[in-house]
Amino acid sequence: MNYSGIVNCSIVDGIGFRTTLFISGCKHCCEGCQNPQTWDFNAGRPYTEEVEEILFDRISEDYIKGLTLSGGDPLYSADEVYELLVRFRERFGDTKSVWLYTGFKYEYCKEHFSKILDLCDVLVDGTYKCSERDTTLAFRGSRNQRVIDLKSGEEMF
Amino acid sequence: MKKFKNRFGVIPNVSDRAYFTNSMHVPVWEEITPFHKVDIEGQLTGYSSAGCITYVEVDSKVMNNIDALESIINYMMDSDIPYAAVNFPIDNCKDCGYSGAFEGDTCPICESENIEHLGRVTGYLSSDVRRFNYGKQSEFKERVDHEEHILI
Repeated sequence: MNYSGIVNCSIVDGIGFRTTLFISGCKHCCEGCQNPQTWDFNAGRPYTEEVEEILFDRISEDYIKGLTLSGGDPLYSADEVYELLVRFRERFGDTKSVWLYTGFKYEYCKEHFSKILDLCDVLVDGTYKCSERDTTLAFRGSRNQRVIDLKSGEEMF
Repeated sequence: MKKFKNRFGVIPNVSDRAYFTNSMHVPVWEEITPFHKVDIEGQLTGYSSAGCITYVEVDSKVMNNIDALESIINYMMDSDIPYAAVNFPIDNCKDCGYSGAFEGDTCPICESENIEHLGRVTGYLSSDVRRFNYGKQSEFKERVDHEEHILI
């Protein structure tokens, strides 16, 4: 699995200050995508133990609320992402939250990626649609996308 | 700055830009997290009786993230910062009234060019940053959002 970068102290990828990992590779290819350079599965650099150590080190700061997985679409690398999240929960338990951005819909994710959802707190779902673009929305780009609290299954904003 | 350069010449990191940077501030172009910036400036602001405002520059989307605002303000209070501001672009359309971050000089809602870019430099607010003098505008343009980018 490759990653296209880490943004530490992001305020646009979920509640609070967060550390965001952009995982390379996406097949949704939405028109108007913010990060088309991350579609290629070979974009960026290999996600190694060393990278994870830096990532977890940043997240361990008190002022960081948690990890956000973005991309690309992390669910095209589901096996690696699952293992990453298992290690994340071993280290941080429930003291930090996980937000997951995906182009797949929540209903599809429940069917195909339930093990991953079990390790996440919030899902931002759906492809980006130019025609639904709204810059005033919290934590998402277009109106069709939903921010879902995975404990209750309810939309948050 | 012109007079300074005439007398002392161009000194790297002192007079090689269109404006001076206060010695107790991390320069605006530095890529640094807001918390690291506060760690540094919190040690220095006590030596000043004025002009020591600590800025944190963030994306306009912070309007949807009150939790983040609270985190950084609490952190600044715990770090002995006496005077602080969280800056983010706010642009206003004088025709339709829309307020937000515009890309360029056009309103995203009604496409009017009758707009203003709210901004703050050296503690002074202007309803339109294009009215600041050359030095202040240069400082404003060279700012980066306070976050850290990692790719190894």
